[in-house]
Amino acid sequence: MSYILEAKNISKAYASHQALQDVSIAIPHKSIFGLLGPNGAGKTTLIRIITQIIGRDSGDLTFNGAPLTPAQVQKIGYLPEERGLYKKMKVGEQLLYLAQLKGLSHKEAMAKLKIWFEKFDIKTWWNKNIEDLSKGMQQKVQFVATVLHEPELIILDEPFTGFDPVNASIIKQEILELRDKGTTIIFSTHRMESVEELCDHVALINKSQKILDGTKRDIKTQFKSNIYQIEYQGKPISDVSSIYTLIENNHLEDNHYNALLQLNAHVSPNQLIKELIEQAELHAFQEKIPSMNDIFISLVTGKSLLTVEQESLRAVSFEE
Amino acid sequence: MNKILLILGREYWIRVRKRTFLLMTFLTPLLIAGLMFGTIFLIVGTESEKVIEVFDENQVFLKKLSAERKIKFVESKAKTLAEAKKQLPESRNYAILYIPKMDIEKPANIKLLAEKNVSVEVEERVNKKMENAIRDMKLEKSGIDKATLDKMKTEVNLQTEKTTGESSNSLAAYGIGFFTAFLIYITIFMYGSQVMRGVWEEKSSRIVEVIISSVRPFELMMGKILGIGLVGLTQFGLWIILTFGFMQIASSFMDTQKVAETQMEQSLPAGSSDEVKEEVKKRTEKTQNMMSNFNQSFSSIPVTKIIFCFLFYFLFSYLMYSAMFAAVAASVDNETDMQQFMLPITMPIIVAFVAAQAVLRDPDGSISFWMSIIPLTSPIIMMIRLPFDVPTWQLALSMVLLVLTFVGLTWVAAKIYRVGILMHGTKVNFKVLAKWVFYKM
Repeated sequence: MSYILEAKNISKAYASHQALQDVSIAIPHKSIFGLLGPNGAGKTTLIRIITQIIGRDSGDLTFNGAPLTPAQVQKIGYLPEERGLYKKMKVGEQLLYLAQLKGLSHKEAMAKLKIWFEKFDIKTWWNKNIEDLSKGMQQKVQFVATVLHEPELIILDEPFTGFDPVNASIIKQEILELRDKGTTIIFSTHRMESVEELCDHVALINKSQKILDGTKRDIKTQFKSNIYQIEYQGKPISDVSSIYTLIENNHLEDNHYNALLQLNAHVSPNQLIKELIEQAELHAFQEKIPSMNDIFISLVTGKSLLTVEQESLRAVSFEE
Repeated sequence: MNKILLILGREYWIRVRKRTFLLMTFLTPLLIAGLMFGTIFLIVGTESEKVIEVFDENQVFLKKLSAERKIKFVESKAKTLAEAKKQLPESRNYAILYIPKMDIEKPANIKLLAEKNVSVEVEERVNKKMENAIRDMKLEKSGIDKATLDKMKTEVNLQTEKTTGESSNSLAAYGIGFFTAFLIYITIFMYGSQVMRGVWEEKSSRIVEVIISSVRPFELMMGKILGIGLVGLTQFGLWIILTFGFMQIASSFMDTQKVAETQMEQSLPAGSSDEVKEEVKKRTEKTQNMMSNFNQSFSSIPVTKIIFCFLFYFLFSYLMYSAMFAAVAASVDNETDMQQFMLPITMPIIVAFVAAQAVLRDPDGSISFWMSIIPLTSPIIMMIRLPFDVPTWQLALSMVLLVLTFVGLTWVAAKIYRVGILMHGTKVNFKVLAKWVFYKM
């Protein structure tokens, strides 16, 4: 696989603490790469090193196979988590200025801006002051500023904050469209549902170290452990069986239940179903593929994935 | 480099096209020109002529009281003082000068009677007139005739000259030195605080996080400082041009010399003596003399040198101080903290400006010398000393030190700026700032 960006053994220490320790990531071309981690894990530091805002203590960075140079910063678009705009400047002027700072000529910037203004249907905003726009509108302007110079690599740090669901889905579509056109996207977020939805690859950073890396599918396969989630009606199923181990059994309403079962070794799912339908009226049967959310929590908190899944199942039954 | 220009351009344009900038740029010269002409107008003036009735029981003083600009003496036609008082409102005369019968050796009870309060100026002038008149009379009485008396009036106009033969004028030197120093002083505050506010705006609105991924922090800082400096230069340039322009326009409406003369003539009593006309002529000559003297001494001051030095000191002091302002604004989290750092930074300029008085009194003293060498105060103090002839080696030393300090301080400021601009939620003090200087990025 060819990588647009490779970071090898990156370390960075601040005066009082180690922000990154020996972190390596490789971002494949045309992928959406999820960079995950709890607050303070070192994500922003890593992104700032990639965008060359700050330097690294050790490690190598290559862009398209060659060492990253300051000039290549123009091939990267960065939407920081903490972002702002000049409040007293007009939208059009501001975007022109930011595009020129990225190396576009005035003419190129104008032409590209026109396309985006039409696409987002914001032509009337050109002469508005930023301070007159709502937060969501400002986010849209910032998104345009990030992608306008058609960078090969786009880094989005929490891109959906401040968006209502309608605009969030517009931005989501834009991200997918950019990916389809060949842009690579690094996507840093806490919102796991958007990771599930968008990311192909995922890396998890915790306490300044990378603790997980791979394609989403591989990771899920790696973490699944023959667990099935079922819903049924009738009497509670037996908790002693040669086929399965009952992990969790929640009473929902009347005589409805949901449960987590782990298949014993050398038993097929069909045998499990057979066993179950003899005991109760089976409503749902599903292999429990661990969600990114559960994997994330399990890795960060150190609880076993099973415990986390039990907890989230209980949360579901509590809601119902 | 290209990006510095882009940043500079933005900083420049958004300020120059602001309404407040345009207003300031046009109103200030108007105000200066207005003030200048206003003062001239007041002195030469539209001020109405004041007629003072003289009620003299001795019948001798009227001809001794010569007319002076804006004050004219006429004889009172009333028979008694009471009558004169009564008639005063109708006559529209300003006041009655009542001189009772008296012995000139012991003048007493002379009164100036008016409907309203008499202005201090009129009071003083009439007082002087009376004193002169009585002195003249006394001198005549002791046998000195009028001709001798006139000859005794001497006017001295002291001309200072250097031993090298050039003329010098400490008043002009004083004025120019103080003015240029003041200009540097206010520039540092005016435009330095704009740099500070600009950096603070970028930090607090978090736009800096967006920009810093396309340009280096140093470029952003320098672009801003240079852009705002250029705004300052533009404003000064326009002020100078416009002030001259407005003054030209105003003076074409009003030829001051002529106004002065006609008014003086008007103020002469009808059928005035040649003596008075002579007086007017003398006075005009004296004014002209003073003017040419002033012009001469101006030319004795090395104007090109002063302009060059002014631009030099303006440029480097502005750059040096605004780099420090930028560093402060970049490192603090709120505006109150900013004030706390403002004071130590601006202290040297304030001290320099306060010391300006002492320096003017003794431009070659040791305080003056050291303060014009030490880079933080040198821009202001050297400008004050400059018209009083500073040895070349001192000037050169001061300039070299200033440039070196500028380079050093900007380097330090850029380091602090670079760390501070992305730092939030850190309580900053001088110890922390010092640590940032040695951060690896």
